[in-house]
Amino acid sequence: MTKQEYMAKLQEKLERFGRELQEEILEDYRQHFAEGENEGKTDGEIIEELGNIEEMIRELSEEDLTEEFTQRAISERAGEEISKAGEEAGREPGDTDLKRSFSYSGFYKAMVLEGKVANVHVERSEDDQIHVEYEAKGVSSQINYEYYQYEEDGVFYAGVKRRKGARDEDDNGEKMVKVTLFGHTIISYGNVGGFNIGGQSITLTVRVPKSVPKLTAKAASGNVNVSGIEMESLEIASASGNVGVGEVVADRLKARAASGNVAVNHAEFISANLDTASGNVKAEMIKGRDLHCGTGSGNVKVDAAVAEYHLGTGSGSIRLKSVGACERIDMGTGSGSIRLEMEGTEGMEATVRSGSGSIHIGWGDEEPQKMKNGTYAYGNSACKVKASTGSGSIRLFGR
Amino acid sequence: MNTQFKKGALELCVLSQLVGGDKYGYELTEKISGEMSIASGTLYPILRKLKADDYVTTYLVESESGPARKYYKLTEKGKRYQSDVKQEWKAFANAVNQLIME
Repeated sequence: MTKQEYMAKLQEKLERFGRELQEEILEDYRQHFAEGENEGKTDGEIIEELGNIEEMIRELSEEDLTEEFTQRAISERAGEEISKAGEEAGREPGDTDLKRSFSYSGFYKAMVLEGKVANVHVERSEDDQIHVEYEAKGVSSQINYEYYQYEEDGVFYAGVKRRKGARDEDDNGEKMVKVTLFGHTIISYGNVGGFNIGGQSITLTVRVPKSVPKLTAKAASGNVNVSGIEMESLEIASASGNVGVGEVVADRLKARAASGNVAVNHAEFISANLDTASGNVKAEMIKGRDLHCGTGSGNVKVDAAVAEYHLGTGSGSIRLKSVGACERIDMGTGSGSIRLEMEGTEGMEATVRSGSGSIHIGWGDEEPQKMKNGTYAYGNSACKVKASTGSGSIRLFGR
Repeated sequence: MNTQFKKGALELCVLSQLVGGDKYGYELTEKISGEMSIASGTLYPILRKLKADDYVTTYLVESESGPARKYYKLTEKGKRYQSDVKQEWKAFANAVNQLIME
């Protein structure tokens, strides 16, 4: 292809856009040719460098299309459910909000919610049915996800999945492309909700009745929040979003994040696992039998009445306030500090070890004493406390 | 690759290239296409969008080598945006790295 042919093709492809845009892009390309030629590149080399015209066209905003094309694009892409919001004052054509509600019977042995880019909120249903609200905000052509629901073997599945014919799929379906940026290798597997550029926001609100004994709720980039429910087993996770639990009663509670924080308050359980790779774990006003909290580099802060604690972090600090009879507390951090305040226990056997930090232990009304690595008994030794850190300080206070 | 994702990443790259000083279109596309395999042409719509959003402004400078060069300059709004998105990017990249290493 010659430069003339390439530019003619460009002009043709730009025709459906506004005049001002056409001129600007054509001028950018002319300029690019001039600079390239000046550096001694051939037209062929410059054309290859500028690349596929269609690919460039796809980067142009919907708003830049001429008016009749915009109308058509919206009705083609959005279907009947999307109300055209262009009529609303102050909004650009192409913006759409989509909101849908569904109700289902509440008799399922389990529920699985998969939010992907969406934020997921789970709440208590006020009747005996499951209610779902799906809300998407953004530009219609950029909403690449849609709601789905089905059931299989008595399990209720709902969530958000990639829309068929989503804008970037028109060539070869869902592509896995490796990109290297800032020295990180990233595999692109879908949209990135936290990456908030001209994008979209999807929220899935699910109200769950008491008849459902088991719930799993996950998201990739969205946040997951669960509140006001009672069930046997609750498992929630988000890869880059935050995970929150409040006012929940569950025999087994699992909350997991990767880079986000995990926050739990007012929860009752038999066993709970709260984990994140690099975020913080915070649990307040919780009650249960076993509690496991772990983070790679964040802090762990717990205020609870639990029989057995296992708290660990790679490099963060650990703060624990324990109320009531307690049997075992294990706390470990690579380099952070550890602080324990214990109340309502008749005694403790404390095994403490710090690589280079100071250690203080106090029991009852006595002044805290500076201690060395070792094992010390207080009261009836009922609670076995282990605290170990590589370089942080350790403070234990019991009464 | 997902369009939104790519666009976001490229926007961040372009804005970051402008933190150190104003650059003209060709200079920017050369710099970015030198690091990753993309069609340079796709950067022009992105530059246009950044201008429409007031993240950059442009001005022309006469050039001895040919037509006047269009320079891009980061606005105060653009600087704040670049810094915000950079943080988001880092958090995201860390999360992905964490997950793919499992």
